[in-house]
Amino acid sequence: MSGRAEAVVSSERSSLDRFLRPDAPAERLAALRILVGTFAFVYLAARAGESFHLGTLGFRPVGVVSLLLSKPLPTPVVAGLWLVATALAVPFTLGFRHRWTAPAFAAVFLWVTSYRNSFGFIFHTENLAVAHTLVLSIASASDAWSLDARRGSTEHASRECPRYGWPIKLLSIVTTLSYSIAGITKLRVSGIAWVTSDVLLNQVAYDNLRKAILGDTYSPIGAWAVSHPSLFKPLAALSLVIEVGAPLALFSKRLGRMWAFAMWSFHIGVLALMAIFFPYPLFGIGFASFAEPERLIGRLGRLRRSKPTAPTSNPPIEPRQAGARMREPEASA
Amino acid sequence: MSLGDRPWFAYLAISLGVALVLSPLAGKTDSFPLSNYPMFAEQRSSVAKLEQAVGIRADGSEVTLGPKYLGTKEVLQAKAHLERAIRGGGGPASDLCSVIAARAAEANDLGVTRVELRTVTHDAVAYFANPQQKPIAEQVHASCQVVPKRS
Repeated sequence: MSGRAEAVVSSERSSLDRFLRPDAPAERLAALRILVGTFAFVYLAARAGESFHLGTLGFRPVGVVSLLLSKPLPTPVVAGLWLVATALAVPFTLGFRHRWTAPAFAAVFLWVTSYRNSFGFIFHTENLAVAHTLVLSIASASDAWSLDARRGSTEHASRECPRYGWPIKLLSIVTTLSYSIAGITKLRVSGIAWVTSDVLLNQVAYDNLRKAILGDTYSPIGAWAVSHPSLFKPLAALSLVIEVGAPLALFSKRLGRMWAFAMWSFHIGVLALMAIFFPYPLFGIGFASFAEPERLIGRLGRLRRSKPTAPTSNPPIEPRQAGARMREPEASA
Repeated sequence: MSLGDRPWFAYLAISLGVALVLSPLAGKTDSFPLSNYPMFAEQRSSVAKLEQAVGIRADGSEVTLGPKYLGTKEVLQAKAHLERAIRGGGGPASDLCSVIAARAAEANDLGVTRVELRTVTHDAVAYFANPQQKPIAEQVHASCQVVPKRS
C-alpha cells in the first residue's frame, strides 16, 4: 500500500478505533512477550519445589480449579503440571510456534497458579501476570524477535500498525482496571473513612503483627511507622487517588508513564511498610505496556553484539526512530 | 490478513477482557485470577485476635512455631490452617497440634517439649513499642507433648 493510501486509511479511522487499536511496532509487542515470558519462567522455576509441598490440607478450590475439582490432585500430577508450565514458558518467551504454544502455556499457567491459590488463601501476586499472558497468547506477539520470525512463519508488518497496538492497549486496560477495582473496593467496604480514619494505620500494624505472631519476617520500617500515625492519612489519600484514577492513564502516554511510576512507587511503599513483595509490578513488567520496552531489549541486543563474537547472518535489530518506518525483515537463512 | 488485523477481533477481545476484569465488582468476589482485591479494604480496630502455634521448652521459655511446622512456606496459608483447626473445635485443633508436634520432633531444632495452639489478643499499634509485652488476652485451645524421635 502506498504511503498516501495509508495516510488516507489512517485518517478514516475513528478516534475510538485509534484509541483502542493504536499503531505500534511489532518489536514492542515482542518485547512484552519476552518480558512476561521471562518473568513467568523464572517464577515457575523458582517455585517448582513448592508444587511438591502443596499437599492436601485445607484445599479450597478457586477459579478454574473450582470448576473441575472438588478434591486435591495427587502430588505427582501437581508437580508434573508445574513442570509442563515451566517448559511451555520457554517457547512462549522465544516465540516458537506461538499460535499453538502460547495459548497452551497461558492455559497451563492459569491452571497451576489457580491451583496454588486453592489452599485457603488467595495471594493476589500473580493475577496480573496471568491476565497478561492470556492477552499475549491471542496476539501476534511473535511477528518479531522470535524463532517464528527467523523461520519466516509469521507476517511481520514493516510499519507500526493496529495489529500490534490493540494487544498492548488491552494489557494496559487490564492493568489499570485491576488497580481501579482495588480502590473501588476500599471505598465500597469502608467508604471515605478509608482515608479519613486510621484504617491504613491499623491495616499496616495488623499485617506486621500477624507476621510476628505467626513467626514470619515483618517489616521493621512498618513497625517504626505505626508509632507515627500522622503519616498514614496522606498515604491513604494518595494511594486511593492513584488506584481509583488509574484508567486516566490510558488517555495519554505521559499520564500513562506518570501513573505507572506512581503505582510502582506504591508497591515500593507496600514492600517497605509490610514486607509484601509483588514481583511482577516491582520488576516493572506489570507496567511495561505503558513504556517502549523494545528500546531496552534493543539496547541489550546491541550490547551483546558489541562484544567480539563470530559473525552471524542475522540482521541487526535497530531501535525505532521517531517517525521512521520499520525495515522489512530479511529472509531467514 | 490475520485475525489480529481484523477490528472486530480486537473489539471482541477488548470487550471480553474488560467484562471479565470488572466482573468481580458485580459479585463482590475474590477469586483467581479475577478478583475485587479486598486486601486492606476493611475497617479494622487496632486490637487484633490471632491464632498461633507456640512451642514451650523444658525451662518454660516459648518460641513461635512458624509456617514450616504447619506444612507450608506461606504464612497466610499457615494462618488459614490454624484458624480452621481452632474454629473447628477440640478435635481438629488436637489433631493439628499433634501434627505440629510431630514436625517439631522431626526437625529437632528448637528444643521444645510441648506445643500449644492459642488465640492471642494484642493492640497491633502498641505491640511494636514493646514486643515482649504480654497479650491483652490469651486462650489455649490444644496442648500436646513433643515426643522426641529416637535416633
